[in-house]
Amino acid sequence: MLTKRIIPCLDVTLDKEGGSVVKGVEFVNLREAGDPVELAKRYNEQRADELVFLDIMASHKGRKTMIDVIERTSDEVFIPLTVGGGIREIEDIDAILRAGADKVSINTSAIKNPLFIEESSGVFGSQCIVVAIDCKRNFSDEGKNYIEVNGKKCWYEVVIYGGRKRMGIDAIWWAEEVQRLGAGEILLTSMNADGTKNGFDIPITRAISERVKIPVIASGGAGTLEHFYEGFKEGKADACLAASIFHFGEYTVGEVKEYLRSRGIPVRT
Amino acid sequence: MAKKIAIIDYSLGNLRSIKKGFEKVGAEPFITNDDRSIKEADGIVLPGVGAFKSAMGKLEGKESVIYELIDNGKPILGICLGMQILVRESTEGGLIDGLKIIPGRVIKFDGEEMKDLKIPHMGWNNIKINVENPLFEGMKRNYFYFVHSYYVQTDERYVLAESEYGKKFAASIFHPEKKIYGTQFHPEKSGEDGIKVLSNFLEMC
Repeated sequence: MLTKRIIPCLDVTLDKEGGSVVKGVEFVNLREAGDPVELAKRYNEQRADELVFLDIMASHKGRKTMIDVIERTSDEVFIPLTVGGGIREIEDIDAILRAGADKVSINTSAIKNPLFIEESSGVFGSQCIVVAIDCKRNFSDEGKNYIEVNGKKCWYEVVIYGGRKRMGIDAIWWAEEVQRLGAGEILLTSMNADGTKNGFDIPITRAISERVKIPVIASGGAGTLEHFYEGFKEGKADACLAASIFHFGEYTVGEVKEYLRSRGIPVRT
Repeated sequence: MAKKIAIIDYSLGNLRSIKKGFEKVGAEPFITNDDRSIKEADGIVLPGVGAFKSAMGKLEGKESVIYELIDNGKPILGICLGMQILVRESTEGGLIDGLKIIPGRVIKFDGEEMKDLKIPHMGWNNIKINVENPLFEGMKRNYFYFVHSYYVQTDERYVLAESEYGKKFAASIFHPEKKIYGTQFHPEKSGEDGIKVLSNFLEMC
């Protein structure tokens, strides 16, 4: 049986000269606290199903450091690796895959140039192309697809720059569109849930997961074990992604999986 | 001396992990497109992500080298798309000829039983080993990482292991009389058990 995936996300800052750190890591007994490669190894030992590396600075200079991080990780960690942040060109994808990553996650460049999804999936195959969709609730009447959230009707608007810029695009419509253009997977983050630790945004996760045929990764908001269960059961996600809950050592990946298994969600333990 | 494993370079994407996986188990892997170095190898790996048609297109001219190696008894491991091109033909993008080394046809996941399932079949799935074989010796948990929308349909005598996604499908195929193997999953992305599969293949080389 296909299992549900748990994916730790490493937000990597690459602008430090010759180095890189993972944001918000507070492991006490990690030899090199914040070293993304050490952290990746640790999550692998905890039986994470995949890893996502997000270059949060997305600077041109950081690209080389990211390549180095991916090469060093893939030397020792034999699970799927996804890299996101500032990917604009076919050459960027080629370099990242050559370094040992299996997928790239594209966000802003997909919105600015939707044909980039078509082009990149044509070259590398849909299985390589994850489209990240960041969205935010909008209670105006300008949307296409309305969902009831806490008794009020709203639509979800695509946003970029961490939610600072609204794009006027309906997220559900966009999800179908990226699928049509050749995306192999959707990484969905709701800005209403991200960072809250109140759980994934279930209404939009479920709406998109039911609408598209490609897998959906729920991201943003995981604070308890129950939240992962809800993400799969109510949100119908194929995978759940989380960062801080793992970085701060609140739960290990293994503990999350053990809990899910006890509640009847199929996981690889 | 370390055994040489030729990873045939005919597709874009992550070949590095296969190379690193074989290095980890003590082989001397190299990525190549050169006929002479392919012939010098102790074992051959057909990797592959992407489309069937473009993979076969890039392999054009290499078929005779591959057939020659098979005649000489060299072990071959096809991974994912590399397994699919071992069979007779594929329905991906028309009806395209494969290498015809193992009977079978590549078809898309489709039908009523797939109605509520996501395509591609992506993630970790368990397998059932049908035939006792050195390739799957010493597996601990039997979970492997898959990512594919098409699968191989073949006679059960060629199915080494099967998995289930809406329906049963071939997770691994083989030629019962030759050292020819295919895995629909990615051993190089399947953790400890995956690396053991690479190590088992190396033992046969």
